[in-house]
Amino acid sequence: MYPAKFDYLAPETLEEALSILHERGDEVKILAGGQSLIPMMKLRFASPPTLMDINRLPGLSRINRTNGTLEFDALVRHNDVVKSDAAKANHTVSRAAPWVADPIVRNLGTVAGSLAHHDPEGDWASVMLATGAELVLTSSDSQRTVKIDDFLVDMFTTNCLPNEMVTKVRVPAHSSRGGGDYQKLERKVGDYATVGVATSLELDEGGRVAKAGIALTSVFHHNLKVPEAEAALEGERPSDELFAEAANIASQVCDPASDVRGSAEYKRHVVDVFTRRGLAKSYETAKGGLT
Amino acid sequence: MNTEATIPSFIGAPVQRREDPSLITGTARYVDDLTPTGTLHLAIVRSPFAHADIIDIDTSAVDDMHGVWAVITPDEVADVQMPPTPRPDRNVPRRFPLVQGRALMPGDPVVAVVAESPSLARDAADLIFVDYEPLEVVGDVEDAMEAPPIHPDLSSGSNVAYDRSKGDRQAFDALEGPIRLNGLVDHPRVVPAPMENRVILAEWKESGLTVHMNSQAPQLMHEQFASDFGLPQSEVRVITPYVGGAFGCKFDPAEEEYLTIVAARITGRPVKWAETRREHLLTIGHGRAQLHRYEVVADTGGRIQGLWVDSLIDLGCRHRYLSYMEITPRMGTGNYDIGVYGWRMRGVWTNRAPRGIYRGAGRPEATLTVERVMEAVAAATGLDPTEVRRRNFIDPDAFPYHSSGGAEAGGYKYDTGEYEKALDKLLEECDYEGLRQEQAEARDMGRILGIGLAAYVEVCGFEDWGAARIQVHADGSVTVYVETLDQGQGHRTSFAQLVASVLGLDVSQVKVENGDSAATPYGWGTSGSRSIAQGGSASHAAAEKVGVKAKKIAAHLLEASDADIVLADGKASVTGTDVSVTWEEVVSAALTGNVPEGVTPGLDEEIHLKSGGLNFPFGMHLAVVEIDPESGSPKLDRMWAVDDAGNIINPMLADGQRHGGLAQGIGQAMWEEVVYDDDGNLATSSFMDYLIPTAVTLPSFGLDSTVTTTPTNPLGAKGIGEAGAIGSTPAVLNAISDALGGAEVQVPVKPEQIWRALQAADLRRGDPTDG
Repeated sequence: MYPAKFDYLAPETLEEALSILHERGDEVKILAGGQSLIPMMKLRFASPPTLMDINRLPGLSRINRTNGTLEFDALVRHNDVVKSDAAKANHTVSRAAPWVADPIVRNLGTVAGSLAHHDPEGDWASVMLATGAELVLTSSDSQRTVKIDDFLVDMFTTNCLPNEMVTKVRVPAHSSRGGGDYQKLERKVGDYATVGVATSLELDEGGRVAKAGIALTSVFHHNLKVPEAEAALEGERPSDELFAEAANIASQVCDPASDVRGSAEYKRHVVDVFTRRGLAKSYETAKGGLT
Repeated sequence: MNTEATIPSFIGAPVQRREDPSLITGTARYVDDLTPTGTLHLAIVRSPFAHADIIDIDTSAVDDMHGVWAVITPDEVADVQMPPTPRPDRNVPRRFPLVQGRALMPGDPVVAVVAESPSLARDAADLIFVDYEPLEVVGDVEDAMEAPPIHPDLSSGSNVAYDRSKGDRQAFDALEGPIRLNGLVDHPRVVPAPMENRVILAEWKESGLTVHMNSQAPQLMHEQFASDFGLPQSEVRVITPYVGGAFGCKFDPAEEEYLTIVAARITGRPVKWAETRREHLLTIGHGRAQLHRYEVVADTGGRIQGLWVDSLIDLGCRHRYLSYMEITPRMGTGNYDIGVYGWRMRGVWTNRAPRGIYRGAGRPEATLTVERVMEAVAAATGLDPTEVRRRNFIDPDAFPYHSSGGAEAGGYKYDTGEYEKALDKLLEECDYEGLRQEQAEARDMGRILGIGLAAYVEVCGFEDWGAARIQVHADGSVTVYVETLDQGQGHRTSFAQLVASVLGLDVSQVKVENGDSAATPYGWGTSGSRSIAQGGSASHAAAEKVGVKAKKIAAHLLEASDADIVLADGKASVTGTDVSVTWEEVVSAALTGNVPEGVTPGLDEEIHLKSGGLNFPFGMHLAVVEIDPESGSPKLDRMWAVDDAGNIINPMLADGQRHGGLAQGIGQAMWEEVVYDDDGNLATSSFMDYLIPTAVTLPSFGLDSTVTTTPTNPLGAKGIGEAGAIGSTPAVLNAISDALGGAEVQVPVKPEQIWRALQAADLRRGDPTDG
C-alpha cells in the first residue's frame, strides 16, 4: 500500500495521547483497529497528516458490567465482544457481534473505532441507537458523556471534537424482561450489510412493551433510528400484527440507495422482513422473563 | 536384506508439499521481495474516464521533484512493439504501453513516473495533470454493436471485431423435435484475483535485459521481449521465482510490463512495478464476459437432436495476448452426443478492460450453457435432470469421439470418458434419492431447498509437447528443470515424485526448478491445466533416460546385464540377488568416466516430449442450496464433486486444486461480478464491492473420483487445475433454479434476483423425481 505521507505517533499513556490531540487537533487520525482507516489511506481517500496509534495505551481493553450498564473501553475488539460473557447482558450487542465483518476483521477492529468512523454500513451504530447507548469523550482538560443519537451526526461525521477521543461506550443492560437482536443480510461473510436491523425490547410486568429500540444499517445516509416504529410498539401488547406494523413503518421511513447489493425496492422489503423477525426474536427472549 | 526387489513408487502417494515450510515461514522469495541496490519504482497515471480524448498532459509539477527520475509520456513509447501483432485489416488494433491520444477504458495508462520509492512515485503521479475530453461510453455488449466504433481506424467500421459461425443451419432447422426451446445464459465478467498481484522488476545490464516477473510462462515472455525489444534471445533472461497464484492472468504481458522495461532502459537503473489490488481489478484481463443465446431441439424422450449457440463476447477495449479464442464453441456440446450442432460467435469492443484468460478459459462458459440446456430439456420433458443427462451422454465405447459437431464444426477429439460411471458414483455419494426426499419434506415445512447437478468435460494439454532437463549432481542429488511453472499447485513436490519414482530415490533427493529462461528448457509454461500432462510427462521421460543410462553404468560396475538392474531404495541392484551398488557410486562412476564402452560420461538428460494430443478430464458436481423464502438469500449448504483426471500423481495436491477450483466456480455462481456503472466507471474496484469466496463462506466439500486414463501421455494423467471451476458454477446455478421451480436465473445469483423469482414463481413443483 502506498498511502500519502504522514507522521506516525504511538503514545504510551492516555495522557500523552490526549495531549497530542490537544496540540495537533484535527490533523490527527486515531488508529485503533485500522480496519476502515487503513483501506481508506491505502486508496488515498484519507490522507491524515498525523496517525496516532493508540494500541499501546494500557488498560483500555476491558468490558465491564456494572449497575445495569455494559461498558466497553476504547480498544475492545469486535471479537472480544463475541467471546465476552459480560456482553450477554445486552442481547442486541451479543447477537450483533458475530455478524460484524469477518473473523479477521473482528480480531482487530474496535467497537469504539467503528462508532467514531460512522460508516452508515457499519453494524455497531445501529446496535447502539437501538439500545440507547452513550459514549464518553475525553480530552486533556475535560470529559463529557454524549448520547449516541447526538454523537452520530451524518455519514462519516460525529460530534467528537478534534481534541477528544472516544474512551468508553456504555450500553444499558437488558432487564430480565428485555430482549434484543440483530438481523443482517450479507451476500457473503465479510461483506457490508445489504440491510441490517437492530432491535431491542423491554417489557413491563404486564407484558406490554415498555421500551422499544429499532435502528437500521445501510439503508439511509447514516445509521437510522426509527422512533416512529418504536412509538408504535411502546405501550402495546406484543403480537405478530404489532411487529408487522412497526416493520412496515421502518420500511417506509428508510431511504436506501440502489447499488451492487440490491435495489432500493428490495432493500426496503428486507427491512420489513428483518424488522419483523428481529422484533419477534427480541420478544422471544424478553417474554422468558415474564412471570 | 530382501532379495526380491520392490520398487517403491511415489506416484499416487499424498506426499506432503515440500515447498510449504519456506512458504509458511516467509523465506520463499517472490518478485516483490527482490530489490537490487538502486531500484526505482514505477507508478502510473490512469484515466479516470472510460472513454476520453487526452487534450493535454502537464508534468511540470514533478519535472524537478527530488527523487523523481523519469516521467514517461505517451510519445516516448509510441514506437514500442507489444503483442498481439496489430492487424488493422483483421480488426486487431495496435496496443501501446501508454494510450495514444485516447483512453479506451477506466484505468487506461496515460503517464508513468519513475521515482526512488513506491510512495514517492505515487505522490508524483498524483501531481501530474491530464486534461480529458470525455466521450460517449460504449458499455453494454448488445448496445455496442450499434454504437459508433471505439476503434474508428479498423476496417470493420463497427464495434464487431469478428463474426464467425460454423455448423449446418439448414440441418438444424429441419430437425423434427417436437421439443424446441431457447434461452439466454449470461456469463458476466469476473476477476482472476490471485493472492499475489502482478509484479515485474526489469534491469538492463551490459549483457542485455534481465526481467524478474511472476509469469506463468517465462520462456514465452523471454521470446516475446527479445522480439519486441530487438535483442537476441541469448541476451534476454526472464526469471520467475515463487508465484502466489495466477489463474491465467499472468500468462501474458500487459502494458505495465512493457512500461517497466522501457523505464529501466531510460533510467539505466533496475525498475520495479507492483500492481495494486485496485489496478488489478481495473485493468487485468477479465474472465468470462460472454452472453449466450441457445436453441435446442429434443424429442419427448429427452434425447437432444440439435443445439445452436449464438454468443456475444465482450472483448473490452482491445485484445491482450491472443486475438481470438474458440474454446467455448469448440466445447459447446459438453458431455453429450448431439447430432446437429452449430454456433455463431461475435466479438465486440466495449470501453471496458480487455477480456483475458481466467481459470477454465472458455470451458466454464461452454459448460454453464449446455448444463442450463439440459435443465431446460428436463423441465420440458418432465424427466429427472439425472435421466436427461444419462440419455444424452456420449457412450464410453464411442471414444475417441469427435465432439461439438465433429471436426467440421471445429469440435475436439475427446480421448476417453466414462460419464455415466462418474454420475452413478456421485449420486450414490450424495444419496440423491434421499436428497430429493429431504427436499420434499422441507417444502412441506415451508423451507426451500434446491438440488443442482452439472456434468462437465474440459480440454487440457495445449501445445502438445513438454520439456524437462535433469541434472544429476556429484553427490547423487538431482535437479529437474522443467518448462511448466508452479504458481502454488505444488509442482516442486509432484514432479519430484515422478522423477524419484523412476530413479529409485527419495522425494527429498529431487529438487524441481522452474521459471528461469537461462536454465529451463523452452516451453509454454503453465496454462490450460497442461503441467502434469506435458511438464510432468517430460520430467518422467527425462528421468527414464537417466535411468536407462544409470542401469548401464551400474551393470558395468556389477558385471551384470543392464536388463537385470533395478533402481530402488537409493541403489542399483541386480534383480533376484543382494548384489548392488549405491546410487551415489553409480553417479560417481558416471561423472569420473568409469563407464562401459559406447556410453558417454555424465547422467544429465534433456527431453522435449511430444504427446498424443489433448486430454479431456470430466466429472459431475452436485450442489444443495437453501433459500430464505422471505428475503431470497441463498445459502450453499452442501457440495459434492466426482472428478476424473485419469491417473493422479499426488491426490492431496489434486484435492487442493479441486477445493480452490470449486471455491472459484461457486464464487462465480453466487458473488463474483465485475460491475460498470452507467458512466462506464468500475463499481467493483476493491474487495469491499467485488466479493471473492473465502473458506468461512463455503461448506466442506464431498470429493470422490473415478479413474479413466488417457492414452495421450505416458502417465495416463489428465489436467485437474480447472475442473473445479468448471462444474461447480452450473451445479450451484441449477440448484438455485431448482429451488425456484426451474425459474430462469443468471449468475451471480444475488438475493434480490431470487426474491424476484420467488415472487413471480408458482412453487407448485412437487417431487421432481416422479417425472
